Amino acid sequence: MVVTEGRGASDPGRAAAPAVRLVDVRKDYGSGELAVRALRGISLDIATGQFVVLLGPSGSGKTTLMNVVGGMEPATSGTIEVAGRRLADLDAEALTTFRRESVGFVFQFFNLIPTLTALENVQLVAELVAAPDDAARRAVEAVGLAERADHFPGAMSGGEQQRVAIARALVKDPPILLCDEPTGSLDLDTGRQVLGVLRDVSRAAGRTVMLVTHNSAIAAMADRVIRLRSGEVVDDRLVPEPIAPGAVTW
Amino acid sequence: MNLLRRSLIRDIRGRRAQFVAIGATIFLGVTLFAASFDAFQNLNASYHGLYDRLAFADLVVVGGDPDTIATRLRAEASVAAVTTRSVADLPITVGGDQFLGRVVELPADGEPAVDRVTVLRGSGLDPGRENGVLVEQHMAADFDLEPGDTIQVASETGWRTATVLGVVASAEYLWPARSRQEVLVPPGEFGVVFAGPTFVSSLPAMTRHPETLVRLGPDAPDGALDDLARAAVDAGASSTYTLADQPSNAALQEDVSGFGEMSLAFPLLFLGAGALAMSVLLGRMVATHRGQIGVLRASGFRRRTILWHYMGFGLLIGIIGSIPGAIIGALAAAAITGVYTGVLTIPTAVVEFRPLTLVIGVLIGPIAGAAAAFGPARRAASTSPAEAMRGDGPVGRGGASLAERLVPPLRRLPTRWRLAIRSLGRNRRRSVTTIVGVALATSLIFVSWGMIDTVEVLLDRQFVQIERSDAQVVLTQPIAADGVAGAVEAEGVAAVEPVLEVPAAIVAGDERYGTSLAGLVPGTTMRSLITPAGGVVSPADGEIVLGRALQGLLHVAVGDEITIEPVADGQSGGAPSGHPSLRVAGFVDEPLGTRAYTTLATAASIAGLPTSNPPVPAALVRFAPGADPGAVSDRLTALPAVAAVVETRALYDLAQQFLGLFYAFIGVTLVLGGIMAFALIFNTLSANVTERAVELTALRALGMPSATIGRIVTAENVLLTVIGLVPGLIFAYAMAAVFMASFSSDLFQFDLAVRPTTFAGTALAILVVALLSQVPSLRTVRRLDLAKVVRERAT
Repeated sequence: MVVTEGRGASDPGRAAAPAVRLVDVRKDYGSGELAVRALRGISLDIATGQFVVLLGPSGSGKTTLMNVVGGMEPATSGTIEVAGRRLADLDAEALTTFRRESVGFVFQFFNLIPTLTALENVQLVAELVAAPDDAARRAVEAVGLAERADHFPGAMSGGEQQRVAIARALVKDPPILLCDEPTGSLDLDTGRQVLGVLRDVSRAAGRTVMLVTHNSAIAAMADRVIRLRSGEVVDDRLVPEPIAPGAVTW
Repeated sequence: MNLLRRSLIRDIRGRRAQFVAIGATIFLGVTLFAASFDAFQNLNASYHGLYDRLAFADLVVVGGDPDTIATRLRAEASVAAVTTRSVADLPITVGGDQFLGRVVELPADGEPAVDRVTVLRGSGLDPGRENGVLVEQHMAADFDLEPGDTIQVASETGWRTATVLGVVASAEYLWPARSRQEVLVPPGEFGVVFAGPTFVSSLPAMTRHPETLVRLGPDAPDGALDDLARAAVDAGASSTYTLADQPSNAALQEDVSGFGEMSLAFPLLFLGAGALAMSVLLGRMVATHRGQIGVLRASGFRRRTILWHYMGFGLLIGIIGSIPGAIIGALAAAAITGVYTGVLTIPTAVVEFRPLTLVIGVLIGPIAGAAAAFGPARRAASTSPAEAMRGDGPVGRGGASLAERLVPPLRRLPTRWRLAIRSLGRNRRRSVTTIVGVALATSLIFVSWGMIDTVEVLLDRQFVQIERSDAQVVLTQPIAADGVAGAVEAEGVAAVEPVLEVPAAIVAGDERYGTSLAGLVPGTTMRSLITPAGGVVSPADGEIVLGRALQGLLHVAVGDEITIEPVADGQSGGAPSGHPSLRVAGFVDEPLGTRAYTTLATAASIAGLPTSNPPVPAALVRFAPGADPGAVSDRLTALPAVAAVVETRALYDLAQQFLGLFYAFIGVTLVLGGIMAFALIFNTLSANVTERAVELTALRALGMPSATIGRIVTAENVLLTVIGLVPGLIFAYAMAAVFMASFSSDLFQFDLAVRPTTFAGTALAILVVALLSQVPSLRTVRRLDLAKVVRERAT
């Protein structure tokens, strides 16, 4: 993992080149009268280093938005630029490369491989991107699991597993981290730990973080909060004074 | 429709490929059962129906005074009927073809009490036509003989012309074997003629031997045949054999018992494979449905309802596979019986519809399915609602693999390869199931392939390594041994050796065995007497070499003394008084038939002939290199001293011809084995991928190319397959050995002989099947819905 200074979130929304740019993005599932319009013309820029929370009720389109930004499914129309690349121009192989180099994912369910230790789970991805030999261990240390590196997922708590998943996403040193309900299956204390790690990796490395949640309490720690409803952005505002992750409560 | 049942149907539809594979395996198992079991029953019924109709002899007594023996045996309460007759082996000419045939005596008027014939065309014997004969159907077919045609039979005074009155079928020659030593006889080189007593009595005495035929009564006690055989020997008989040992019946029973074994072994194998695959698939489904089961349990569904819901999968797929399987199997049994009895020209083919077979066929599918489903269903039923609702924990266990612990350098492999190794121990039940499945599939392919190897190796041993002569020449009249070479001199003949075959009983203690004792010249180059250990043994005067089956049948060992009792009036000089003893010099490992060998002088002595330069009725001939065997054979046949020529090559070709049918059969089992292997491995590997769909999707989302994931999955599957191959090949070898041993008798010695390439070929075939069967799973990996992993837990 490469840690760079100077891409902090102290200047949210005003970076020169946005990390993510969406112009009139639409996403439909199905067609005709039965079509479900998951995204209805979303346009927004997300600055580099920003910690953005996408908030909304179930079915509002926040996960779909994250999926199209992460190149996991194509938009029906509109323009998506992520880390300087227009996703519509990329074929399946290029999209795989894009995901490998430009984005990291953290899922609600940790999806760790139970037969590999915490360190090995991270190494698996490190080897994929030919990261330096000690990158995996440093990533594990960065999420505070140096002592648990050789434990298997089955012997770890949910919070620890989620931190391993974050380390796995970070070891590629992606400029953008996409997190889908990363605290959704965690209790308050463990959730705070995970949010703290995410906040730290964002601040320390100037990494853009998009965090999807339906938990409005988490919004208070973000640089920017985008609310969605029925596939549309209904509110987009900066948070003047984000609180510390440890102060988040629900 | 009950909602759970509707869910069951939809679940099956959702995994239709896997369920179709299981259903197909069960279908094949049931089809094989119904087809082979009914064919087995039909063939048995066909044979025994004909045997009863023709009063096939339960015991044949050879030699001695037939009247004395018949009188003695008629006195036994267990005997229903006794017939005496003469049988002569002698040259017969049909058109331009000459061969060593057989004339069997029948009453000129009426039917014998034992061993009747049934007239297929023409009429029976006519007391008014002394030269009228009946021709056995195989001979009629080989020479295109019809009533009214004529044949020539060698008599005391030269060739005697006989007119064919009818074409008949005989229970003794349904399979036209000359003897237990010559079960395979090329078409046109053997034929049986039935003639009246006057005609038979005109044939040379040296060619004739007497037989007493015995038919048991319906209430004959167990052991009656042994008692009668002892009584016959006491009354002066040379040897006896029972219906079970009768050459034609024994050869046919080898086939019928093959059907019988097939009707058990193959269905078991296929149903076992189907059950394994079902267990794996349902196990995976129950794991996937854990949450749903919890909801059902929490909603008040009873354990029994859940149990039967999952049992329903096994029952339904079992029924779907077994109903068409039982019907098609029954139809196939009729077709097999028809073709089989047609090829063997059995006049009465019994084809019966057996409701019991159908019922068993229909039941075994669902029974296998339900048995397979029971384990997963019980796990589903015992799921605690609270536990099921807690959400998913990591699937499988962590820990370094056994391989890494044993070979520490493996720990330095790239993580993705360590992942492949560790995945083997992740779900041990499924890994074990896959290994068992691979072992089963390996067995089916290996056993089939091993049978081909065995037969080819044995034929090579019989016709290349042991039989060094190119032909056996039967002489019209015995010629002094020294004069044989001159009598059969012809262009293309490189070497000639006299041979004297003496029909005899070999007696050791209470055991006796009727066979042919061949007298060979010392240092013969026409026959290599290869021992089971691979060496070569040569008998000296006063010694005998026995076919190795006799080691067990007579309970003798090298160095033991045995007694030889020649069949009376088989040789012109008559047997000497008292029976000679010979020392067992060794055992010969001959795949076909069980004979005995001694020196020419010793054989002559036993036959009551001069030991120096004895007259011999036959010679072994080797052709010159490059000579046309057919042309040499024709030249030999044209010689006045020659009655018939039996080419070794013709026998080999006949064996190869039968091998052709065998290959077809094995080809079918290989295809079925491949299908079974595919179905089984496909299901276990599909479960392997499905179980980890979410993890694999996460790796794809993180940028791992699907090709890399494909390689990891392939590595796991290949490793599992290779692990399964090790016990599979060992088990398969043992199974093939048992299988071949079950076919071994004194008729055929089927020692398993597997070429090294067969091990490699089987392993390669299984690996190819494994690689092919994972193609659908790899396609699933490529098509994994990346977005789904974010939206929901993949199932």
